[in-house]
Amino acid sequence: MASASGSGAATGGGKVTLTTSDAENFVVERDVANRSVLIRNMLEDVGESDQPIPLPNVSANVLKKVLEWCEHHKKDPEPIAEDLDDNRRKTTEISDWDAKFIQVDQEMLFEIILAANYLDIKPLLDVGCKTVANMIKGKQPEEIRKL
Amino acid sequence: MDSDSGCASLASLPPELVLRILALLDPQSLVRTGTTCSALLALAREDSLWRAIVLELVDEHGAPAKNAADDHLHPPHPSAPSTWLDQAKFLLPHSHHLGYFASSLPYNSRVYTIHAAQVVPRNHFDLPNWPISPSVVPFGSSRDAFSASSVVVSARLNPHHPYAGLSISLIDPYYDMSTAAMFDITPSDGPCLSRPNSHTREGLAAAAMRAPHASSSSGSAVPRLRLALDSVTQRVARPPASSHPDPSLAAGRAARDPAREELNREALFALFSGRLPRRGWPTLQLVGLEEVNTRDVPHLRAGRTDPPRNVLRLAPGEAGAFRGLREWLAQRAGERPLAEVVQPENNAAGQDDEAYVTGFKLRARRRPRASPLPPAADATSRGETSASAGTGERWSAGQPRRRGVGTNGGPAVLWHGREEDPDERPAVTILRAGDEAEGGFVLRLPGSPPQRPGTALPIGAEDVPELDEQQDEANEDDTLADAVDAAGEVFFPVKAPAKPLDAADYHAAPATNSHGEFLAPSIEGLWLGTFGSHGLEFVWVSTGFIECEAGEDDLSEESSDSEEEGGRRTVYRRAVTATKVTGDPNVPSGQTSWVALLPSLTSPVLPTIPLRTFQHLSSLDPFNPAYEALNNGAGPDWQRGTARAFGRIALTGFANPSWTHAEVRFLSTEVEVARPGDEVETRESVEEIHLRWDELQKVGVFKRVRI
Repeated sequence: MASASGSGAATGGGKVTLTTSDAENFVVERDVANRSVLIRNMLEDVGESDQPIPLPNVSANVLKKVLEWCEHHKKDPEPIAEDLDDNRRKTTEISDWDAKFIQVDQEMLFEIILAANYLDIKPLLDVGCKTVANMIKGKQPEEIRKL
Repeated sequence: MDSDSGCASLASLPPELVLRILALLDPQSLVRTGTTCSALLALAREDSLWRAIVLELVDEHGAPAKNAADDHLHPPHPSAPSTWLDQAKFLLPHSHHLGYFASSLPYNSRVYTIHAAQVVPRNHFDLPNWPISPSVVPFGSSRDAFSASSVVVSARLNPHHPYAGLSISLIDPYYDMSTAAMFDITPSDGPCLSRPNSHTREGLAAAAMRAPHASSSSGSAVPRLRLALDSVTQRVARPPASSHPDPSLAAGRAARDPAREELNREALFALFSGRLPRRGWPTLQLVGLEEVNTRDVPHLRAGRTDPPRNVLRLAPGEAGAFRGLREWLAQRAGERPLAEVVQPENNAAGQDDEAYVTGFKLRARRRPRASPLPPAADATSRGETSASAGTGERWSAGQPRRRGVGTNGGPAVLWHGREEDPDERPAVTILRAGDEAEGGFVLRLPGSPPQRPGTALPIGAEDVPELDEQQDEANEDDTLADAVDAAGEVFFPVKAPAKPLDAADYHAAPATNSHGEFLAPSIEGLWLGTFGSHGLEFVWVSTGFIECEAGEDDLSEESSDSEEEGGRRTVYRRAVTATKVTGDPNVPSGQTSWVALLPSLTSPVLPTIPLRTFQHLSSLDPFNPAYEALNNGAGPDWQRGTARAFGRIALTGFANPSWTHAEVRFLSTEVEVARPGDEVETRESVEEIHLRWDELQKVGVFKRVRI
């Protein structure tokens, strides 16, 4: 598990406690939390600690959703650095699971994007952005205004 | 609309995230998104987005096969003028790639202005040795039998002609340099790469219009700015890396294909963004040089022991972009070869290739006024271009001192600053050269105004080592004035992308309804149009509703007199709106260029005229009875089949914007729709728009750009 996550310092298997803005605690596997570069870096910096990690910019219902994504994608290989940016334009396809996952109301969608940005979860951010882009595509300005 | 709540959620994202989303959009969606609110507009016009789009387009359509690249970058031999015309493919109805020579600055393409009074039948073009389709040629122009390069216009007048009383601008990508070393700028034509006798040939329309003047006044009496071609020598060295190549390096490398593509990219980007690419003149292509490795050329290696190197030499069989320029340079430079290899200082790794390229740059000289011009010519010339007309008005009110003449007798800086535009643009300097009373003309230059006289010439290029010989051109009588240096000028072959219409696009917005009437949404998209002396500009055409005053189909919220009326009632009209994607000093990008009112409020039906009919009509002699019958009947004159429109005009710097009356005509034609598989289906679609500016007496032609 540790090798899958690819981060040498962090030891897999442990649990991490995350505290949301509305003071709710989430206990998640380290592998899952490591999907967030923000949390991973934090854990690497702090080392082993039982202290909960405060996430003041994320609310509980959003974090729940984000963690759901992280849970599903915890085994994914790390995206290759900035390779993503190059073909970002070309591919606006989203995998089936992600497409289903992202079927949320608009407010939640934007919340997820913000959270993914804050937590530095690039693949999730891409999913969110692609979804919004797909919503804009082919629409008239009046319809786009509603977004 | 309630844009406040509308943009709330998307606008609640930080800009970098919105940019990330916008980067995933296609150009159409991007422009549409930009029309939703000002915050998104600012983001949607972000450089990086458009650069990425342009690069992608180049990857798709650009990155041409070698032949295509040659076509565009190495203009053909002078003996093949038709190839030049082939490059004017933006005028061809079904071209998938629009190729034309464009400059990033206005005025630099030659603009032919052809007045309707001189219209001749189109069937005059059916000359076997001029293999271009009549539809390419501006209505009413004809070829000069004695000179392949010129277009002549007949002076026959037919007041009933569709174009009667109007002029048409044609951007001609032809640059003829075979005998002239000077570019003349005249009030009517702007800077033209021209021959000395250009006033008789290329100022055709203008000359014919003011025949009395043209014949009586010699060339020297015409106020003009001369642009001197100075040969310069630039050191060409290997780029250390790919990082920010200096212009001469870029030129040096451009002979190879990747660099060509790079040039194409930059040119495209410049075209799309209205910004200058960062390179200077692509000297190699312009002069017609090529880079070869001495290993491949045995005679260059004769008697040499140093390792093979890349050298520049005259490209055999390839002319530069400016025909005759090479000869001219060679002639002026005497024995000096255009490019020569200097000895490398040492053999360090054998990779330091140095060469001096003799190129040229432009300097402007203002010819002292020989004799005052009759005011009639002034009026005529001012009426011709919106720029000169606008600034003429603006600057004529005021002090009595000579307008448009700088302290040193050179061009005066009219306006310097940023365009009033949400988009941040580089500073722009607008110069007026020539006395206002003579009509004058306006140059728009990027960057700061020229330096004060007395100091060095404002040479834009960083280092342009002097050529040892000071060739004094044959114009000693010209006072060397405040120079307008064109180091930032670029002539780039530009491929504007247009992809074949495919079935998905077509069915996304069906062009016609069940009655066969054309629907306005089908013309939404990018269009490329002529804007007189401003050259080509992109507009984005959209459809929707606009507010008008009841009873008066006028955009009178703009006009001052409507303020006086109390209790006005507004009505909504269905309209086609063209918004500028690229702008000019008068009406910058992002502003509405014109609005056409559609006849029906309830259904978005476009009044259209089949292009075929129009061409057929055009091919008739105006005095042909059939023609007159058509024209008095339901012929496509400006009274029928057109929609009322309002065009945006403004003085330089978007000062004092106002609406002017116009008519717009939508021309439908058959297009081929590529379907999945190799099938091609033929459908009708509106692919051309003519816009007549009543006040400016001009017709602008817009062609669809599909990307």
